[in-house]
Amino acid sequence: MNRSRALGVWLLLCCAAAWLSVRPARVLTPAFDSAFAPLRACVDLAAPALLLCGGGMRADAADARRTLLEGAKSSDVRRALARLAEPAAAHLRAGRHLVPAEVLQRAEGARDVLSVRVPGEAIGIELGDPVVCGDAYVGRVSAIENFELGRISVELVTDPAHGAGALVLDAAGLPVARLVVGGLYARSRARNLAVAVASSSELAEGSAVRVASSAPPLYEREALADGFVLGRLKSEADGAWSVEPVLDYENGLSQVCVLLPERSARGEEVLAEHALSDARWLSTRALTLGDPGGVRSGFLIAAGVQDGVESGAVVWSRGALVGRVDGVSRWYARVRRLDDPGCAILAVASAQGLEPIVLGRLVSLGSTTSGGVRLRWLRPRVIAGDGLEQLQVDLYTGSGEAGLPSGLYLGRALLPVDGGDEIALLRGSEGLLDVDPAEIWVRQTAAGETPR
Amino acid sequence: MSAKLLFGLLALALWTSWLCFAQGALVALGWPSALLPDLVLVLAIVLSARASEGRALAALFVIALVRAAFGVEGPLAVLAAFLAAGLALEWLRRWFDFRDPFLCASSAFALSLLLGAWWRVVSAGRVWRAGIAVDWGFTPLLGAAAVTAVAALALAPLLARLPGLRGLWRRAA
Repeated sequence: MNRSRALGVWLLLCCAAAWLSVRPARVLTPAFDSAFAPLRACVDLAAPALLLCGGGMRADAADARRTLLEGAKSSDVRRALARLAEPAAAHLRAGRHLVPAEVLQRAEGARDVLSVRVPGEAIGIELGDPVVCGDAYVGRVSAIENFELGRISVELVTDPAHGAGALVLDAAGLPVARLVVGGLYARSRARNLAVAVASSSELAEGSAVRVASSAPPLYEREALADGFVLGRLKSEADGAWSVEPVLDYENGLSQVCVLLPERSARGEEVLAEHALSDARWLSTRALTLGDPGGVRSGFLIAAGVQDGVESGAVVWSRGALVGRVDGVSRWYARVRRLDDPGCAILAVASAQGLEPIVLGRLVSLGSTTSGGVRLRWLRPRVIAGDGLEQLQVDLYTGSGEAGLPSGLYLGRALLPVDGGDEIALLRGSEGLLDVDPAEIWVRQTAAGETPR
Repeated sequence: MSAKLLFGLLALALWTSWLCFAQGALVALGWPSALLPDLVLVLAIVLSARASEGRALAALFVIALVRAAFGVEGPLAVLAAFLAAGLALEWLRRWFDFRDPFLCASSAFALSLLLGAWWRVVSAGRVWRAGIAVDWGFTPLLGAAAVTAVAALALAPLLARLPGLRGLWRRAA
């Protein structure tokens, strides 16, 4: 090949790589992953340097024990979240068997369908069984995905095809009108629920809207959802009515409850063990300590597709979650740390004496000068803080995204109570961004999980 | 391919991987990214100045591949950046002799600035998709480019003497 032809091929390669890096083509990703897999050999050339930095030493028993202790701490949060998902009002608990269910992920290609898991097998659960979170209505069971694994699909009330019967109550709690609620009101940014049919035009803004099953019911057990809260009526600019929901259906669901009749075939519900106890945690080591460009925050690990690791998998070291897998080839994976701008995670805050607060999605804005991490809270809200400007909390992962188990410790943080949207993850909280190159754990992908 | 060239390329891959690792280790130790010299880029300039015509492209390609392997950024983005840098060096060396310290430092400054801008563009796309505002502050890029230029002035003669690379040099070098 002569020089000008070589330069032409070079230019073509350069342009193609630049174009595909800005506009990634998903269909080509597996091919590129395979093509770049042998580059692991280049990374291994630096192994002696890594050894000099302590990358070849195994962690001691004390460190492993600390990891276990943090795991035990996380199970408290999971239990508290499960408790929070149960109805608080006595009349909403009466005559019902509550089945706790952890939100796993959104269904592929259907944003309004959740995939959830109940303890043990899906015994006694039928299509149409209502699903709630606290005193609020979430949706209904739409499919049994895997009976043995207890995985079911839940159609949210935000699905346009849902159609939940509801009553509008006046200030005295008396019914004034019937509604059919389902889907999102499309002409507003506020993500309110759409009102399809109203039995009366005499409606008042701010009236409470509660579920009331239709007669005859669409599903046999639909009436179990009667009395659960949907939200408050809102008058829209175009004269239509919507319902301002009490739940954040996009980011605020971590644990839910399936309602069954009191005499169900299910026994006592036993919650799953804490997130670190499942067998999918793979011990691995770091191949590098940081990004040579200095722009990204992350490192490479010695586990890849052949070890069951996929993009989005969580990475754990020294008692805390340190980041998520951003790209993976056959023999190694790239990990972005929590302080890498744009790194997103579902989170739950836990403070002493308070119930856990489901924060939803947090996105990293980068590290602070003091070494902490600034996190953008995408759906901020006001929190009771006893006159404080910020509340010191422990952050844990929330559930609702494939590959992200709930209850993993993230670190200590300062949470704004006045509706501010920036959370500071503090440096000095145990484990924050502190990676032991020889003791890294990555969670393998389970069958049916498709991490983002 | 001669054994001498093959050995030279292997040695180059080894040195590039060590430089990549060292840069990453500096970042992990808390070295500010605005003051991080791009030693791999300096090595590419040194190589472009001294390698024979037929070998420079192969050597620059090896550098691009190794650097892509080490990046947390997707390999395609890194590959595109270093292939473009290689192309620019290959074109410029027809007119300029990068063995001159001032030219070496100037090209290091310019290329570091361009690479930094490219990382920003790629980063911006990712951050924007995550739903947060893009930080377009370019001051750190100037800092990193200046430090890379100083590193080129100070370290280019040392990098040119790295063991094993002689097989890539042109005879006059």
